[in-house]
Amino acid sequence: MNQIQNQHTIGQPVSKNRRTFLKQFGAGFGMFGLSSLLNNAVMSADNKGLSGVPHFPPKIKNVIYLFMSGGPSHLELLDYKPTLKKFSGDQLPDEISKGQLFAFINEDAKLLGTQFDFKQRGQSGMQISELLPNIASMSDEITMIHSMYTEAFNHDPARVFINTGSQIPGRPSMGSWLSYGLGSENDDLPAFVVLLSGKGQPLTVNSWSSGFLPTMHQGVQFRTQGDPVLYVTNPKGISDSVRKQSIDAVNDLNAMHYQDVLDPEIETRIAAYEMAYKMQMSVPELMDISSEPESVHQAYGTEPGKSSFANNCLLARRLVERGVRFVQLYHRGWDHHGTADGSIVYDLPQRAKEVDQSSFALVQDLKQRGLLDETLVIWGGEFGRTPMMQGSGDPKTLGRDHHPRSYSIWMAGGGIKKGFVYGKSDDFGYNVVEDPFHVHDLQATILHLLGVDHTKLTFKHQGREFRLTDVHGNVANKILI
Amino acid sequence: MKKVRLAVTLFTIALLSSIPPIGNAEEKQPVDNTNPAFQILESRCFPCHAGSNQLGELLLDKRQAALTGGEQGAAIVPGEPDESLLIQMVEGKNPQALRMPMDGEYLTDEEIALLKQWVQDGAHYPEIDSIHARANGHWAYQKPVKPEPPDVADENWVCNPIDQFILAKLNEHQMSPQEKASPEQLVRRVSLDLTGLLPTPEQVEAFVNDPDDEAYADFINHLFNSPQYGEHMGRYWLDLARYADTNGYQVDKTRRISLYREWVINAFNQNMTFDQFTLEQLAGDLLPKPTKQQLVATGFHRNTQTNEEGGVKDEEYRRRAIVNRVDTTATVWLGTTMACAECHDHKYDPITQEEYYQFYAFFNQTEDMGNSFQRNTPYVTVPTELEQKAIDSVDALIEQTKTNIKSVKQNIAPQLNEWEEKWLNQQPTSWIALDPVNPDGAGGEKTEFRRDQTFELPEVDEDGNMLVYLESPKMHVEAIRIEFLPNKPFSNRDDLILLNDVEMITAVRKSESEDIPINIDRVHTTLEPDDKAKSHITDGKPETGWGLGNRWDEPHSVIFELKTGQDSFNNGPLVLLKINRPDDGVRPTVRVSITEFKPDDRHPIVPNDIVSILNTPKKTRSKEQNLRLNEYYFSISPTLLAIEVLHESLEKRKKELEANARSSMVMSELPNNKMRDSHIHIRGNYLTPGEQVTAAAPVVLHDFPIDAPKNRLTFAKWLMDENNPLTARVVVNRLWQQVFGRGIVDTSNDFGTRASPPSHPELLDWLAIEFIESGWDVQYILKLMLTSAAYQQSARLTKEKIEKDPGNRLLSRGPRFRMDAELIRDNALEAAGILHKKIGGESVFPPHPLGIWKEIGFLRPYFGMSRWPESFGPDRYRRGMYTFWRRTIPYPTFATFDAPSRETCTVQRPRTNTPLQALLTLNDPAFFEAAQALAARLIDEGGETPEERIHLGYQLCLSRIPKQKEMQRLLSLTVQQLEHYSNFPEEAKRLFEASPVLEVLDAAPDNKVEWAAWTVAANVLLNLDEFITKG
Repeated sequence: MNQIQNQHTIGQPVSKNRRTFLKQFGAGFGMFGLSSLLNNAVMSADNKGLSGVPHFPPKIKNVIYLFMSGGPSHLELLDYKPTLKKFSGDQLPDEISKGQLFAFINEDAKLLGTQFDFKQRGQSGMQISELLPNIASMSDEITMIHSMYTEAFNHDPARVFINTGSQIPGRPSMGSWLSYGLGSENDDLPAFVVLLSGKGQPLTVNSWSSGFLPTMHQGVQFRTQGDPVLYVTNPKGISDSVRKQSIDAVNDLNAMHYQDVLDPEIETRIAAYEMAYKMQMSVPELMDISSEPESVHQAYGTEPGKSSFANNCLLARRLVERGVRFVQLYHRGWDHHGTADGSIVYDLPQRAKEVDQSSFALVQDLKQRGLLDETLVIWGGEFGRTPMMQGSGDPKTLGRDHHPRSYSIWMAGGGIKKGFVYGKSDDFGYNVVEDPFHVHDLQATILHLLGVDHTKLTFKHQGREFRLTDVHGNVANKILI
Repeated sequence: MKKVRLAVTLFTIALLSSIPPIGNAEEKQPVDNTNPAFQILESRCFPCHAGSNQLGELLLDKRQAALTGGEQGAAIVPGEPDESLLIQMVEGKNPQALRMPMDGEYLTDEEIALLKQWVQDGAHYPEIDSIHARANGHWAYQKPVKPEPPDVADENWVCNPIDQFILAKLNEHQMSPQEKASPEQLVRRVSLDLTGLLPTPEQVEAFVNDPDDEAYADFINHLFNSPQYGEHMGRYWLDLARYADTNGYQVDKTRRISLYREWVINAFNQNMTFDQFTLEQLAGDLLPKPTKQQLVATGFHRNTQTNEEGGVKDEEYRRRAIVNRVDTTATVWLGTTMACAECHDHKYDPITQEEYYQFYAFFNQTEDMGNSFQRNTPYVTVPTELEQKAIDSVDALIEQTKTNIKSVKQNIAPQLNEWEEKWLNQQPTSWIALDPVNPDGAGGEKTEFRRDQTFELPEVDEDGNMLVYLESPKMHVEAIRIEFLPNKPFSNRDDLILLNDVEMITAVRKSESEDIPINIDRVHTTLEPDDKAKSHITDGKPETGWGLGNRWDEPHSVIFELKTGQDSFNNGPLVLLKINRPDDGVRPTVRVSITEFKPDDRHPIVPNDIVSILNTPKKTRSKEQNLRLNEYYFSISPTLLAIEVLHESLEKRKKELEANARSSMVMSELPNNKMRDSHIHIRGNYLTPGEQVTAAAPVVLHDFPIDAPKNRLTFAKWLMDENNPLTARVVVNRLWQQVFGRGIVDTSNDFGTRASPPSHPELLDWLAIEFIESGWDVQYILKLMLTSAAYQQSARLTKEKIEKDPGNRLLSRGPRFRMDAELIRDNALEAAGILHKKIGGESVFPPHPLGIWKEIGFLRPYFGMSRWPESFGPDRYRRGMYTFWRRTIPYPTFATFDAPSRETCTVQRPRTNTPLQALLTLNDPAFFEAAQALAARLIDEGGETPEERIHLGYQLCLSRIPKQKEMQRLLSLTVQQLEHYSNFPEEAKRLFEASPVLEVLDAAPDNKVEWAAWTVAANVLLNLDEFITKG
């Protein structure tokens, strides 16, 4: 590696040289403003974020977002509703649901009581379902939110909304905003990494897209099969040494050309090739979880070489350890309509089992390593499910429709209260009645914990300043320590 | 609020001294929106008393409303400040009310004095409202006037008037242009700008050695005539048009619109004038007698997304598409961020929300839908000549059968009478109901036994089927009947599919080999005559099915008439009924029966309503009854049925022929009687319609023709009107951006009040007017730019230039910037000699990382989108613009190099420079295969010595000869690699194992060690900054 840095002649390390350059001619750039500079030719290979960000001292450094894609039923998992159970089979009072649009069911569909037992847990006494025994056992370490709500009731718009602040695809996602504002904490991995597991509703890249921000802020999908990062593996017949020799040659020739044209863009390219090689060296090691001790595998339920949510949880810890700021796990298969997508009686418990142990293990592992204080773990989906039933009375085809008006998520980690319940839904889990927590509020709160004022992290595009929270969003101060 | 107040106060103080003396109240004082008194009203009063906010029912934003007043009476009495409630309120002198403003601090004495003076002067309001007043003085809304190119000192440098503008500005900044680029650099640059492809070494050599002054202009003409010109220009346009091969949103299935891409390429290759180009794309369908190609052109606005996620509301997504058409049109032709006014008045530009929806009303009249369930109708089929001939001949046959059918129907009476006679004398059919049994139970144990043999259909098994076993007597069977018993609770489920793909077999228990399928001949239902869906019961298509609709309250039956001559019921004791049904939890109650009587003339199965007609004496039958009986008999007449079978097969053949032909999504205007009303969407929400609006152009722009119909065609003509201050500027600016790397206006998507000021405003206007005067000739404008001295400068930077002109906004040197994603790959293939230069056609599937679609996309196999169908052979090496473009999963090679997803219109791609790009050009199979092919080419054509090969490599990739030190560096690399692969020949072998490039190479080198070493060298060449840069 040293050889690569030493061989080119422009001075080193390159990235520093590049920033000196920017500083040196800073006055000149003022002419056309910082945003056009960022939009156009000069884009640094190293990502140090914006000056002045964070806006205030952050509580946390990293986020691990366990995204349960498809809309897990809050009524079977996190939000205990004895009244709903009592009125199971009746219709919801007219004044609550009259005239509202649902994806599949009609407004007069019958109520359905929770299908599983809830118990009071820990000191806090919060109610958590029997389907999540491990998560329930750490109820005193988490903040439970019962007042989450959104505006979209179809998967794609809702998922794009919670990730980008807009239902219409094309805006930057939360991880991209953070990469743009805060930069990367490491120099051989991206700032924003995405891991996928499970089957079910499709995902679309626009959930982790950089939108109109430069593509360097895009979430990079680390894959558990095939190339872990696209093209990080050399083609067959190209060894590491050949690759290194060829990158050396590319950089030497680029350095020679730089002397002819003096375009600083060439310096950036040389730095990019250096970092590419570093990634080639570090990523395979990072993705290889077989080196972890048996006790870790036991705790997470991981199996090296497999593609699973558990493996991704362990990878998330390894990424955060190496300074990746925003790690997002998508686990699919929560869309339990009672139709081909699965039932809440048979399929939901299966999904819960897939995530319960490893979500718990991740939080505990972070805690043991002293990382939990600087990391926020979020667990939740794009919306909840209706208190009304979908499908027939047969358990195999029992389901619930999409429900945006109220659902539950939980969080654990630095800067937030422990064993705390925030917000409340009504007796049917239909509407929020206390401390409503909108998608934009969640975004504002996450940014706040990272030291970012969500109203100030903006980017000019098509004539106006855009931000993650559009023109909305309030930090939920009550959940902060 | 505080900030505004401070500003107003300061402004006020500055103006106090200039207040005119009190004059005659009747004399009209000119007032505009910079009037300080009016600004106080605007900032302190309007928040509660303007627009939709009218506290105390008082509006102050219009003069008449203020004079009329609100709950407490007139707010303003012109000329009488002390009598005016407005003044009393802000002074706190009205005992009946709170002092105003309620929000924020009270007005200062100076502010009150200004307001009083204004009332004294007659309380005159600005003639236009404050939003439209924003247009005042903004250059982009003024019609450009052709400026005289400025005089410059160094006239020798000037090639055309563009240079006078550039040089004058450079001199103004005490700068001088860079020296002229070398001929090699120039020929490379101009080739990349007009075809997107590198010049061949032969072209470079010929140009360098051509002494003719016109050589450069000739070469440009040569490039204009190359078919790759249209491809290259089209690729930029496709970003604006948001062209993609899929519908977008969640499911994101394939759509058919690649003919539109071809249309764009052809239009540029014909150098279609930009006004015609505009008319055909925005309103080709409304042109008189449009050609098929003009219809295909309207695909421009069909490139909006359609959603087929289950549960979406069609109207929501239809409207989103219209909104996108408004925003895209405004961006592409007007450089206006119209989108900002979708939910509220524009914050900066002179466009109200009402005007947004007036604009919207032009586009709100097309047939297309928000979902794509019906193959994205409307579309136009464009068969080849051969295909058209076949379709025409089938058409002729169809016409003939139609005539036959008509004549048989006219002469149906004798047949019908005969049939009716028979029916009246028929024997009643006897049905034997079957018991459902448990197939696994010992001795055919009966399950869920009910006395009347009714039972609930069972749940769906893993394969999506309902299986029912029934016990049957051994007997001759001619028909099987499934009865659906009335079931009220389902009456709101009119979309339920009850029967689909029904199969029946007779079975011997636990011996599948002896199963015999029961062959169904025809299906009858009692739902007739409206039962159009009964064919779905046995059509074998999982996506179509049959149901009772809203007729759950009545008993209904489906009768399966069996093929004659079957004695299969003598086979075994069991009948297996298999129904493919969605797993929706609905389990209707049914009964299954058999009969030995054939439903023929003697035992016809007749719908309930026909039975009652037949039982009515002929003389007392109503006209409707007779019609219905005729209608019914048409459906069973053996003569008609025979012709109809023929007719159907012909129609099917025609459909097949048409389906094989290519088609493309188009725009189609609704018929006049179905035109939609358009409304403002309050806060952009279509569910809360506001005031109704009619189609109109924004007020700040030139006049819309009064007498022409208010449709898309007039709108498109209005866009191309010479009085339009924006379109010509916006278009030439984009061309400038394409060639020079940034526009004269940096914000090429936004010419509004927040646009970045043009670097050379007079040049922009001069070019815009040249464009209009040339008759909207795109090639003329491009040629002006490319033959300018400014363009022909070397791109070399100097310390001075970096300091004074870091972003090359003044053009103190030639353009130098990284190529776009597609070009990088196109040129790797071109240098390697494997680019397949076919023009147009369907999209192709070059190498793509394995499994990406499966990891992310929709996984239901019948959608057919779970796997990237990788292309091999020549299609693997087409230009990037033909790569299948899936909106939700962009092609990674292009996305990494900043290609957009094409979900929305993109005017400027960012140009990033990242490590992921380095990994890609080093390791992506598309690039690595190019390196293999380039190496083979160097070995084959480069000569024997490594020096000669490196020489050729530089010519192919960089259009120049290597310098000595560059030669040395590559020589040392190849020596090193030859040594490496000689030591590890198995690695060399692995390098070419099963490489798809072998398929397209004329001759693969025999010596794999040598080839491997040169592949590494070629890989280096294709990764050089200079290679991926236009400089």
